[in-house]
Amino acid sequence: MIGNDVFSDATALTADLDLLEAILWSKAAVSERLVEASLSRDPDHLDVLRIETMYQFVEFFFMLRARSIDDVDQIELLAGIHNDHIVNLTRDLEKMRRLGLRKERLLEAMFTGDTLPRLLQNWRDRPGMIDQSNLARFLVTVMSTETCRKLVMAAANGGFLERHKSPYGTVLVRSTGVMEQIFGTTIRDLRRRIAPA
Amino acid sequence: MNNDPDIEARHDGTAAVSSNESARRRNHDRGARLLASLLLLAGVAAPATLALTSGLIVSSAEAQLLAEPDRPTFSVAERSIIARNASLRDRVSTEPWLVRRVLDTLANRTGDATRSVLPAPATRDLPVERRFDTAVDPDLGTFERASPEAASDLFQLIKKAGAASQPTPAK
Repeated sequence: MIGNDVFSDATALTADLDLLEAILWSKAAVSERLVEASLSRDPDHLDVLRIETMYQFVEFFFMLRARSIDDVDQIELLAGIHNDHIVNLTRDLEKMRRLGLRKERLLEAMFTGDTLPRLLQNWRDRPGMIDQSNLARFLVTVMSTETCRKLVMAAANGGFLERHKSPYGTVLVRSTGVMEQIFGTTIRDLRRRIAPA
Repeated sequence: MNNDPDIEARHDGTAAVSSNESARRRNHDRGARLLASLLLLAGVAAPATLALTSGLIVSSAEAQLLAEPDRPTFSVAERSIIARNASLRDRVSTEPWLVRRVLDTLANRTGDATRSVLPAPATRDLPVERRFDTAVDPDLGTFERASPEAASDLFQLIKKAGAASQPTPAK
């Protein structure tokens, strides 16, 4: 049984509430700042920018930039780590169930002899450029392919992603860098709220 | 004036005690909102469909007839999915094309509409009030995804890739 000791220290509790308030503020701020910066003012596009999964979508692009995953060797390394993670997930039936994932869906999200070369070639041609289906592979555990596609469309309409068809019929996307700036600025604002310099 | 929520005025002016009917309607409306959310997320809903499922324009049956006069057909496997999911079951007679779209979306997601065993989702893309109850809509919940655990895993994967590709700072 969880005790109520956490509520006995009023000073600590006030600080906890301040932290919680700041965390909640930051989540809302990412949404609002994306909406403010969106080039599209179509309410349908703006609604998609506000859904919770958009936060994780933007966070992914922010982390790629912040972790300097920018050359081909690094994206290849990330794809390998992703594949290892998928294999481990397929062996963990309880975790698969928890995350609402099917084994077939996970296996489809692995980078194979067919899909890995395309990932690398696109990244080599232009760092940061990624096939929409490969983006959905990286995000398989946090959102469905349909949601990823819908977020890509909204982000493209908002001016946060470049999106075009390749000569081979695949859809290529590349961040314009705006959403990473919004995410990073908000995280920094959050940190300053929590621990002012 | 009747203040009992379970006693509803009928269109013909009579009143009837119908707690079951009242509950059925509430479930029906909730199911419509869930389906509308699902289609919006899946990107297959036209505004007219959303309005239709939300009951904003005209009665849903009227809108259905105006938009699409013919009724769709469902395979044996699809009828099985409809039978399993209360939100589909409740709508199939009045809004068969909406159910058709949901099944098509399910098929696109799973690659096979006839697949009968889908895992129960743990999480969501939708706000809490729009989540599917997997006890009554076991197949529809597969649209819902997002988990703090999965987000944390993804953070660690990228951290690992970033750390492996960067030189260790000199001490």
